[in-house]
Amino acid sequence: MEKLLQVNGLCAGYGGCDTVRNVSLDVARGEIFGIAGESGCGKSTLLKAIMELPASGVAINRGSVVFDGRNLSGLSPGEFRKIRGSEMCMVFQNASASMNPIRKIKKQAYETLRSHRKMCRCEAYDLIASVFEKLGLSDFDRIMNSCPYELSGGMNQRVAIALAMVMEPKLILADEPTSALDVTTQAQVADELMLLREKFGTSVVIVSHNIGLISRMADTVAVMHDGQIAEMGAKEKVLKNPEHPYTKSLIEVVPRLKGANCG
Amino acid sequence: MDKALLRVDELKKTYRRGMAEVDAVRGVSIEVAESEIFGIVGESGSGKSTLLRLIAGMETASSGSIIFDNEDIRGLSVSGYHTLYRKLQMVFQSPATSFDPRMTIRRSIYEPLRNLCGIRTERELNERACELFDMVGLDPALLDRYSFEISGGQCQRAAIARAVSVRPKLLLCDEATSALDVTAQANVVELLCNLSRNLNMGILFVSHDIALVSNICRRSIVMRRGVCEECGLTKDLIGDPKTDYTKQLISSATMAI
Amino acid sequence: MRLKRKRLSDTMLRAFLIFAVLLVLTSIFAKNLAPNDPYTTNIAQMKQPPSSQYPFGTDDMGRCVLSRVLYGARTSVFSALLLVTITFIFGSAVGILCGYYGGAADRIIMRIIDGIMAFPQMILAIAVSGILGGGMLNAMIALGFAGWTPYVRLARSGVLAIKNEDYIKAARFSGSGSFSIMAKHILPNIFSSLLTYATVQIGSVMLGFAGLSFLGLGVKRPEAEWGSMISEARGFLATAPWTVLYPGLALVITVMVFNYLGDAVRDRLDVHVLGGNIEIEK
Repeated sequence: MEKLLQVNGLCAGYGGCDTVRNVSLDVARGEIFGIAGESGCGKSTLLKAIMELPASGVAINRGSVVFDGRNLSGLSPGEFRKIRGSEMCMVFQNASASMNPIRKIKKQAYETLRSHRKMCRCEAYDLIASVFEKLGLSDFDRIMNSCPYELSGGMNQRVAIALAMVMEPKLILADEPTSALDVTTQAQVADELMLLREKFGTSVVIVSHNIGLISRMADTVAVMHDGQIAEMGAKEKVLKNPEHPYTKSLIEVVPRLKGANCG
Repeated sequence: MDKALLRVDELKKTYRRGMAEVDAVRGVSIEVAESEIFGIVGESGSGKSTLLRLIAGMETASSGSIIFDNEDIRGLSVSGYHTLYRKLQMVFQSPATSFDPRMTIRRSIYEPLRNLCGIRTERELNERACELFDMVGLDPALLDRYSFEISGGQCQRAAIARAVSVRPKLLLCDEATSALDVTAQANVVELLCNLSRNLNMGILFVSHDIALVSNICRRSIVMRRGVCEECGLTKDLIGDPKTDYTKQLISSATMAI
Repeated sequence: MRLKRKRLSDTMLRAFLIFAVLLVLTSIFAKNLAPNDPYTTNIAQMKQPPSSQYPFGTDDMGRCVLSRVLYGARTSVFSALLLVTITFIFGSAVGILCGYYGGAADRIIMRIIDGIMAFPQMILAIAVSGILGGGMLNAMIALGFAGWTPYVRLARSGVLAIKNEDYIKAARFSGSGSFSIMAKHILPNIFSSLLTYATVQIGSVMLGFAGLSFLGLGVKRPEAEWGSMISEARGFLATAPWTVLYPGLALVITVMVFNYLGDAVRDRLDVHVLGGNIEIEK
């Protein structure tokens, strides 16, 4: 089966530097791909390079990204803009920060949708309502009429994911989507992201420093270190039988529940 | 007789927000022995940070008592706090903002040495600072850097060095490792355990990560919405959780593999 | 990732610093630099275009414009710097204390500030100056009366922004007293925004002096002062433009130099702003 996303020998970074060095990976349709790594390893830069967000300062120096059979570097900015947001969406770490805190959510949602497709308010709301329903989010009216500052962090994040899903994109790139959330909420949001694959067939690339989260969600895991992929493969293999010394040390160091042995 | 280093009794703190009242801490009691590492597990809004601030004297409790080293430390005078901070220190969550961005690490470390340890000469100060950095495993060359020039893990170690410079009896750690990478976290936690052992220092370790707490704290409590949900030996809390919330925390913490 | 200071800031800072020093030196040594006596009138020579004897020409009273511009530097630059320094120090101190301690005193003082700031500055200055009588000193008092209030607001909001930062708490744990915290931790961190405002104020204050002088409430004739020179010469702008041009240029250049100096100093002080003064070394 043809791969949805193919990254080939990608070198990207800020100001001509290579933060991401020679990264290659494949994401199939409906796959959840997890990228684990510590801060500074280049995982967020990798996502920004794939998405080619203009304001991020990230530029691709070498290599290519092929999305749904199309080479993204060959596209004009206008064509890319059409893909970005409707076929490929990004969910950020701090959802509340990517929304205007004092404007009602329904106004912001409508604005976002309108920038992709001409539609009237009713159509937009119906579309959002159906997504909310599919994702099991209740209280549609209350949420729509609230401002982000009135909702909890977890709720904001789930709303952000729902809004990202309205255009039914083929791929969601999630950059540390649960890091700003409480432990119990993290589990809920993680489950929500997994639901996207079930209900919409969307592929998800999730980047996180939290290996527990990756192990909970992903099918395939890649461990990044110093801009390169140290190890990549099926989740069970990478996490149970790591080969690369960095992966081994990373997994070893994650605290596991146990009876205390110090103090 | 095991004399408690810190005894908190029915501590309450209520904030007034306009017309509404917010109960941040609602009657929490804990006891920490000397050289013990005591854990407080809770999520945001649980009141764990408020509890720490009350103990540290940064805020005044609405009611309840805090006895530290056989002294009631509520409502101290300026000189009273001076004496208190020779025995009680704190490490904060965000390593970068716990240092003044316009001062070198060296100057920041000199501050408690000057004010609380009474060390005056440059030579002595430098000696002590290098000694402290050695203790926390940092290169003394980093003393002349600014906080934003070093990594989070290094910054947090420097913050710990600053805090233990006065050889406190109790160290309050407010989510001290939450902003760090897994590797840095492991190093800092190991450091804290070693320091507790070598300096006979108690640690009050606040975290949202129950797995982490279970690794280093012999006793701990679980806080939620200002109350103590469960308390006791950590291995009992993990092995036999009594409340639903604790069970939820435990299930969220387990790695799928 | 290595960080290095941008060299451009250092060069510009040096350049503007030199400029500013030259201006201050000019104002101090005006006596030695002026080719003619600025007060000597010579009706026969009035409104003469620039010549070898009068490099900037003469004004409507036959006085040498260049000499008056140089002497005017003394009045304009010096007085402005002095006033701004005083209001800066006083206003910032009050602002920091209000922000740090808060409470009833803070509220009362802020309401007083609000009251003063509710008046249009110039009208207030005119009123105060009128009550006190004319002269440069009274003009300074008049402009300073409300001039310190913006610093209070600026300093106070700066303090409120950082008062609850972890490093302030850490300083308390390190045994630092309130005054020590204010002096060593708070002031350095809010200084740059205050300084930027102060340098812009230099220009405003110079124009304020000019306005008061125009109304006869500041500098008295025949005292030389750029602003009053410009307003005196308004009537014959078409016939003797040099009478307005040179004092005007002097005013513009001086204000610009101090503004740019303020920017350069702020950039230099903001060592911690990535992109401001530091860049990633490739």
